[in-house]
Amino acid sequence: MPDTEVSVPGGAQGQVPSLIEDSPTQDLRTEEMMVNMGPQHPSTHGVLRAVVTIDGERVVDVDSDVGYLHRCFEKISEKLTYQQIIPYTDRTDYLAGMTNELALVLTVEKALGLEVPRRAQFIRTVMSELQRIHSHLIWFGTFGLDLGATTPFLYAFRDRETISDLFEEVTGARMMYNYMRVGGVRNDITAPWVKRVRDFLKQFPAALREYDDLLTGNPILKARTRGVGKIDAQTAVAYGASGPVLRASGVPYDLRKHDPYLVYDEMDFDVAWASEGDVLARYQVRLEEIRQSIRILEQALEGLPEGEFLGKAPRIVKLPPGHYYGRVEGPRGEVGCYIVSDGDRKPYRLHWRAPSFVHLQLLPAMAKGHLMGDMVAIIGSIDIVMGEVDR
Amino acid sequence: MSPRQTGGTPVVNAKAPALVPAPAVTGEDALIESAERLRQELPKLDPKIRPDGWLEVSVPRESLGEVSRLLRDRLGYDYLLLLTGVDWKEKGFQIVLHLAGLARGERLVVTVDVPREDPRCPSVVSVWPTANWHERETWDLVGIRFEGHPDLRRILMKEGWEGHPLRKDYEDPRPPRDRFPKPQR
Repeated sequence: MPDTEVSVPGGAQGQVPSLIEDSPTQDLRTEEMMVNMGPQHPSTHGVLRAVVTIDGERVVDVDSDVGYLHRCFEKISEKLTYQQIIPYTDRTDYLAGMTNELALVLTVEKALGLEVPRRAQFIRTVMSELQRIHSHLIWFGTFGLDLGATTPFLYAFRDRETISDLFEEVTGARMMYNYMRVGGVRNDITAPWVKRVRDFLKQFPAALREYDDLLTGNPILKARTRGVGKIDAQTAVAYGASGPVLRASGVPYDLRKHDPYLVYDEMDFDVAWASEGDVLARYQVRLEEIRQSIRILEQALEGLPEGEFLGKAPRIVKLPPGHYYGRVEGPRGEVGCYIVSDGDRKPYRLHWRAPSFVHLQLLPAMAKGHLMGDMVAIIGSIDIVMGEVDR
Repeated sequence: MSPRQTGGTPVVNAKAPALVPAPAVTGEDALIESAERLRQELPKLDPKIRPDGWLEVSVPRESLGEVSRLLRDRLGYDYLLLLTGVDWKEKGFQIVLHLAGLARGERLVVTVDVPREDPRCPSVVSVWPTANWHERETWDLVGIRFEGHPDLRRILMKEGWEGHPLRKDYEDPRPPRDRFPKPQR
């Protein structure tokens, strides 16, 4: 189109006069507005109410109102035996049941000084890593969906379906496994099941490359996530971040390497970490974690020994008086189980250290100065599950 | 098989890590050394070594603020894992903190006794900002006031809720109901 001549009234010298006489813009007073995001919202990953104070489109402050999913887990566990608490732990972080149960069961076994058979350790490792991939696939799908990409969601859930079927075959359930027991696991895994896992692992790296093509190289994703929600290492450590949130800020701290449990100290894998600390870094860290989980799974299945899947454990589990803390590296971060026992069959006090609870505190630090539209990307990148925030 | 080296290679980018965490301290000698270091900086405290590799120490309530600062600045306990409260009925309350020193791999449990008639405790938010929500939850569920906390209000229970549910003498406010009602004909 040729340049059109535009005549501006009185603009011969190039000045553009104000269209409104005595424009009040210099005295314009802006006010901050408090906007409610949630508790019913497609992108808050559960019942989270984020009260966002915005100045125009810029976020000034975020106050998270949690507690909508509080189900009194800790109070209830004071009147349950340790075995009875296992299904409840499934329901705290409902997208990572295996690692939750593991946190409780490892704490009890540590307190009792119980020896767990090697086959059970390997089975638990396999289940934990499958759970990690399972959970990260949900995160991947919903993260893309939040940003407007609908296709990766379906692809991720297709692969996740294979893992759900694997879990269902062994434990009988797709989500609430109730699989870990004090001393081992509930059922054994069979050779055909192992073969099915191996078949899945053979075709899954190609699927991951497909996801990379779909989402990671996408310029819209990069524009919406690079430099957004940045936290540095000091902030991450000071706020108690763990898991991918901490590792994406330049601190390669992974409980599987730095406080090993099960058979992780015999596995050869790398800690996925990044330095930027923004949403894109957390995204890349989680994708890389999936690749490392595939490595661990292959080794664990290779080295699976024969033996018992459930060791000798007392039928009535009574922890000696004292307090105990057990921690595992869940898909979202460090899951901790703090038990205070007075010698009875039931805990005197049980406290669940939920990584999502701790990470939600970082929301103001991550969101300040960004646009309202970035809130969705930031909340998605922390990967919270309200079940474990509220318990 | 030998234990793996920790640290891991950077797999996403090539910059150096901001902080290189050390593996958790296990082994008798290293733990004794950790305990000695703590005793030197804080001579009034007497750390115990737990069989699972954590040190445990009891801190009097009044000196919690000062001790926290020393723990973080001089002993490197920069990572607060959790802070919670336990109701010991007549014996009072107990605040428990689980700390980790990332650079050296040390782990420490701090317990603070709080009398029942005076459920207050200094806040450690200025030392470990993550304590903010942990203290709010402890106030909400156990009922211990944290002095110096910038925003102590309920976090899990509804606003206006009365009582502190995790206390042992908490009464369920719901009216009694028939748990196994007979079917109505």
